[in-house]
Amino acid sequence: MLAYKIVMVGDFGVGKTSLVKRFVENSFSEEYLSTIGVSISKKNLQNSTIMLWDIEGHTEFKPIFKQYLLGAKGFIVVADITRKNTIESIQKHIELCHGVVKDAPICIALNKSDLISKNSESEIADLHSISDSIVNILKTSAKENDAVNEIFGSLDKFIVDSLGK
Amino acid sequence: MSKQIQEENSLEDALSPIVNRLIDKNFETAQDKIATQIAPLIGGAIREQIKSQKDDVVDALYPVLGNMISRYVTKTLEDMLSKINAQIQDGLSSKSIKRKIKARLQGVSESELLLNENASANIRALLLIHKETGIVLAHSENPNHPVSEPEMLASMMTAIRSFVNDWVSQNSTNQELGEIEYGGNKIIIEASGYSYLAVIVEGSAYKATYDKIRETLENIVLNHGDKIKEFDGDLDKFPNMEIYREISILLNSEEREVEKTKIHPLIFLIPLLFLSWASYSYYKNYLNQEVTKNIEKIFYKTSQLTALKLNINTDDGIVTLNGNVPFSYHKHLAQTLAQEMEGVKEVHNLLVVINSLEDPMQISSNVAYLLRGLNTQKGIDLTYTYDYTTLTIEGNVWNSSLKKRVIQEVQSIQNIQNINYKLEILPPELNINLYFNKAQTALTTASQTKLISALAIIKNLDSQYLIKLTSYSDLIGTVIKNEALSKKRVNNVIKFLQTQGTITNDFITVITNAAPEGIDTSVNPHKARCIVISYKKKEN
Repeated sequence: MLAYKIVMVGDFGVGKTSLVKRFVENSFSEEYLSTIGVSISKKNLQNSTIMLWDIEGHTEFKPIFKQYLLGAKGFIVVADITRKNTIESIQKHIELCHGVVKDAPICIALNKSDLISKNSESEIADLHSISDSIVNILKTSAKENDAVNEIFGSLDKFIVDSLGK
Repeated sequence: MSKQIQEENSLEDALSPIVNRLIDKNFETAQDKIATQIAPLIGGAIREQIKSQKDDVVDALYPVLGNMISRYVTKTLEDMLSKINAQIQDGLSSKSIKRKIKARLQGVSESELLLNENASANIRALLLIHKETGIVLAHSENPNHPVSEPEMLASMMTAIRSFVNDWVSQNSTNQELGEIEYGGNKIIIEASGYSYLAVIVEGSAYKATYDKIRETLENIVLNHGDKIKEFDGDLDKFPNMEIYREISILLNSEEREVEKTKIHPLIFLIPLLFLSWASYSYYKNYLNQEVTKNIEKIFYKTSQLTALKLNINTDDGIVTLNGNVPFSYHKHLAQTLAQEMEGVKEVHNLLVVINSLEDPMQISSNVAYLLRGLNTQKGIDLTYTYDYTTLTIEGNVWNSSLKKRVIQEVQSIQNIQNINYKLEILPPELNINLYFNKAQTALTTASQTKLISALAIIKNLDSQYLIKLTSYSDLIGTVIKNEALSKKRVNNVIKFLQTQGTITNDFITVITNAAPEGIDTSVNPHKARCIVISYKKKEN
């Protein structure tokens, strides 16, 4: 039985909490509630127990507490596909994560995919070049329950496989 | 004007029944709405009422509040009473004695300790948590107070710790979150390098509890520090069962202390019984030794027993005497002395009288003493020699009965091995001359006196001796006449002797017509008229 910690990282309002809620409780709420500090959830999978650390979103005035990132086995960096600046700060978030946990596997969730119609595969390819540790990049929608289980699942699989070696 | 007032009155009369009905109906159909509308007003109304008519409100609420307060006070008092009762019942237990001693040693009041005991520390759960990830490495909980979602708790705790540490470290160094309190509970956090122990405690915790927590974490780090450091999320590779056992000890030890007081009070009687048995045996032994010592002392002080080696043994007032004594006198003396001693119930007298004990000097003097006594008697004349094995008695006795008596007496002296008798029977000399007047046959007074003294000798003669009477004549007158006188004289003597005493011996009489030898009848005719008494051994 594996038990490990995953931290959700991203700017405020990108939908980190919504993704966690969808993944853990399979629910969604249109209301926006800003996370203060950290919110922790637990998800039992077949071979592992994931402790999901959903931390306060990053803003210009509030840096992320590095302490919260300690010991994480992987990160999910979330961006709002409709807000360009949140996608641009993905690199900064990855650097922060790797500053605390070197070469930690990372999945990038481009959330709120329900709000756009066109596919932009090229953007995803560009994101891959940021780091070798990126395991998967998916357009997700917490609202439509689109690719939510996949993004968490792929990170879990990578971690389970790497620990199993 | 008055008409208008009249119209208003009549309108009021006409509408008031309808309006009243409408209000009633409205109350029935829209109670909820009215409640929400009135609710905000109630607080203000009460405030206003209290401000203006305080006494009214107090009167109105008094029955309700009074009951509520009295019920609360009663419940609190009951709790307190039951606790006090328990304390009183516990009053003389080992726990309370321990508490009294502890209070003295620590210099705090007993009631303070009592208070601490009442507010006993109750560990609900222990979690060993990975410091960075907040993953629960091991977890033990009181089954009566299970913790829901320990993983969540651990992660949240870790987050809080992280937050506090991050914030604090900006202001000061090396300070950590040690405790979180909520309500009557608290979470004690004891951290090491890669893990920390979170202990959920109900009620207050004491120094002992903190010490135990620290000790437990130290043990865990000592034994499993490497495994904790290398923990990568794989709980299967982690020795969580061993750690579980270690932290469970802490959980159980807190409970065990409570159970300890349930030991049956009779258990304490066992060492007490042993102690009293031991002291009783010691006391008994002491008494026995005292009795023995006292008897030894009195035996030593009693000159007859001083030289004797006697063994005295006392058991529970029963005295046993062992050893050898020369005479039964000593045996009886020892018995009497022992019996009179204080604390003696019974005497087992196993003393043996050894007859072989003899003193030759004593025997010799015994014989000398005996012979001196015997020799004072007429007819016994004895001497003795004693060469320490053989006693020889030598001498004469008048007759066989005296001889027999001598032998009897000598034999009564004890411890003489051999006795040799050289006794001769030698009767006393008897030679009495009785003189008669001329031509007379009657005994003169002098003759009677002589005969009486002769009787003492005759009585001592053995019966084998004959008493011989020889009658002599003065040769005056005819032979026949003289013979007749002689016969008569002899008969008178025999008659006299027989009347004076019992004589068993036989008589022989000799009547001669002559004068005794050496007597000249012409010169001393009165010496010729005589009877000579002597004895003669019987011839077979």
